[in-house]
Amino acid sequence: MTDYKFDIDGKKISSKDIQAKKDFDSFYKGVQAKGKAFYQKNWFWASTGLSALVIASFFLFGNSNKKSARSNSEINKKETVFLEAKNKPLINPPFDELRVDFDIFKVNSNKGGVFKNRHGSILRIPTHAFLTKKGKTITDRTIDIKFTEYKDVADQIISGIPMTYDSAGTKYMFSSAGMVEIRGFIGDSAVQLNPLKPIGVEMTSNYKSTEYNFYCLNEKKKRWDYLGKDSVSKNESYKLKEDELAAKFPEIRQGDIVIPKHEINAELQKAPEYKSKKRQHIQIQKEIDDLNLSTYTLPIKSNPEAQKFSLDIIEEENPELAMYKNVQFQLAKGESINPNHANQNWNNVHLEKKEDHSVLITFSKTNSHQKAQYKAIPVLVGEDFEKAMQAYNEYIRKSDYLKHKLKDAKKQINFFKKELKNKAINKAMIQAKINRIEQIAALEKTRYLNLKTSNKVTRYFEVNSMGVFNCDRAKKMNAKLPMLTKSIKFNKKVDEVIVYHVFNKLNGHYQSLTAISKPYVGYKNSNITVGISKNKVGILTQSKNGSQIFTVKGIPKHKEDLAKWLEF
Amino acid sequence: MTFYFLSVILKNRDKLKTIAVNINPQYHKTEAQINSEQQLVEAANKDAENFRLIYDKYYEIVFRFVYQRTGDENVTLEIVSDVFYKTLQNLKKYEFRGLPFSSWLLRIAHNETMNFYRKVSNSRVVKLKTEHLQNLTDEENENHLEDFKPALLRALKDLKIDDLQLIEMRFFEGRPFKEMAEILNKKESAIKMKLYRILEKLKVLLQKK
Repeated sequence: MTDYKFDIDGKKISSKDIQAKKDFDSFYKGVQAKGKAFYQKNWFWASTGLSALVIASFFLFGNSNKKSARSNSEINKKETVFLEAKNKPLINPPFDELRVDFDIFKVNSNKGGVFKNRHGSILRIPTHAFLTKKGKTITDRTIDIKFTEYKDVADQIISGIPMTYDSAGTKYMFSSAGMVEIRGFIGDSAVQLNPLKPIGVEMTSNYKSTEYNFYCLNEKKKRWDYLGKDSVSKNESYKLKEDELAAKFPEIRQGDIVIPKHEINAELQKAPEYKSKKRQHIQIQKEIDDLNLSTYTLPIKSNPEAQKFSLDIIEEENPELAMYKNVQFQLAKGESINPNHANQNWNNVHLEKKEDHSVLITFSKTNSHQKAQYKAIPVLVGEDFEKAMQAYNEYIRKSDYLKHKLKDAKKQINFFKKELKNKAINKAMIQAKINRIEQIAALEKTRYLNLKTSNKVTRYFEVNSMGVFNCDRAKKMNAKLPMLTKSIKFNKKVDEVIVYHVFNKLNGHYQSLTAISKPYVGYKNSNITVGISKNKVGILTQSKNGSQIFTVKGIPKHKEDLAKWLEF
Repeated sequence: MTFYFLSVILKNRDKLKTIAVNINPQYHKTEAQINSEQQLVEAANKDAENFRLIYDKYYEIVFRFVYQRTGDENVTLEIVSDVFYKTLQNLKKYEFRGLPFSSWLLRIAHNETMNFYRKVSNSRVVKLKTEHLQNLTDEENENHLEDFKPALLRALKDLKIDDLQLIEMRFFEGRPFKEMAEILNKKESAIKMKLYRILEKLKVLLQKK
């Protein structure tokens, strides 16, 4: 299979350059001299072979050449870096009481696991990854993994980890994209990491450049060992994750949409169809009401054997009794008419309807307390009954028809209302969904823009031993002219002070010693120079004619104190 | 991440065609321009000294075509010289078919470059710009380009040289199908179908990455 070399955004060649290479005369002379094609000639193979070598070397070394050309002040230190630490501990914190905050992870030696620290950096520890000092795999134990991350210059200074070195008399500092320290313990005993079971580190970093190298602090040989390159990726996506979406922008459901009744009613009033249906409904209801006014009850046919009487009603005088004109009152079973009552003139008659369709009829006189009372059932005889039955059936038919019509009208109104409500809900739902999408898009756009300008990345690397690991690049400082130190004032006159030249932009510092009668070198591009003596921090405020004055700030109790003095 | 962009490519091939045509206007010539090219060829056939006109006119086009595939100026100079030598040798065989002369010239350049890779180097250079990779994506995924660029390049590496060069011509060089067909001496419809299949293959490769 062909091996491809992708040259992305590589060297552009201008038209001017190409035109400059054009030489027809030479070409034509060559043509005249040629008896065969170029590639058939030996010299062509020699030259193209050489060219192939050029291509190969371009890809093999092009990268490093680019880097060296990029900056004269930067060296691409891909080799071991020896440190200046002759008669003192390699890691030498300048403060007795102050340490960088760290995380302790309880790790099951058999299982390993994934652990996240306070900065969001992640350790991926494999199973059976730990060894005793003698190299035996540790099983069934809980390992305390101490994970310390040195994010900035304050952390670097507090750690006492050497970040400066001398190479052939030239001083360099480390510009760090992030440094971690990983140690393992069972109780007070340190454990080793099995080199075949490396820990994966995903370190959050504010430095996205891929130009940093990856070093391990070799504590035995007092040097930084070059391990290669880490890989870098943006650690965030502007896209919202599912859980973020669910929390911030829950899906719109139909049940979430509430349309106020008055809005629906207002919409209904605008619909002519609804208004027409409503009018129809009212009309039918009125007809039903009218129908109920006439008290149609089921006519009862008279029993020829039962005793009955009728009322001689003069309609003009008693119109309320007109309905009983042809009605006979059939006495209830067991009752009979008192003959005395039959032969008397009664001035008043009172009819009271009972629930069982019977009527309590009370006869009375105006000038007397005499009364006669009968319970009877209104019945009809012969043709009157037939007519009444016919009328009753007609009433029932009409009543049923109107009720059915009313039910229909009501159904249509409800359907119309429901339709309108559904439409309103659907409309509101679509709008709500659009709003949701717009809100998500707006937020993602903001996140995208923030991300684009953000330098936050994750740097990935693996470590196969316990210790200190640093993603950094070596930087040469821009030194001022050395000056012989005549006096040092650090609250009072002192003989020597350890000084830290801080380079905030490079996230690094250069450590040196200033001492009486020794040359002192300042650096043009350092932001601030601090001195540390007996735990106290002083800012170098004056350096003139060999006289250095430090303004002493005090002993930092927290990292933040030092960070503040370093003017972060 | 899903590689939605490829399905977009497959669906919107016409859209991509527009992009490609816009960035390579050289191929599109008027009838008068093509006729004048024919006159140049005829003149060179009469007197080899007149070949200078063709050499001058097409040198840059050929140079860029070869340089795109070698990435090395010295190698390119040699191959370009060879291309013009072959052109001069075969000029009498050139048949005017109403197509730009450059297509025929680039067919020779293509063959010579392939010869170079067959005989001299197994390491084929593909020069491209980040924006070319964006031609392979839809607008939405442009923002993710940095994220899936490595996977995309790995997938492209898995393609055969014949397949990759179609992608190269179409998406990195923006050549119309007609010109691609002319350079590769194949039918335009075959090129289209082939490219369609390559994109599908690329999609599968990407999903595996």
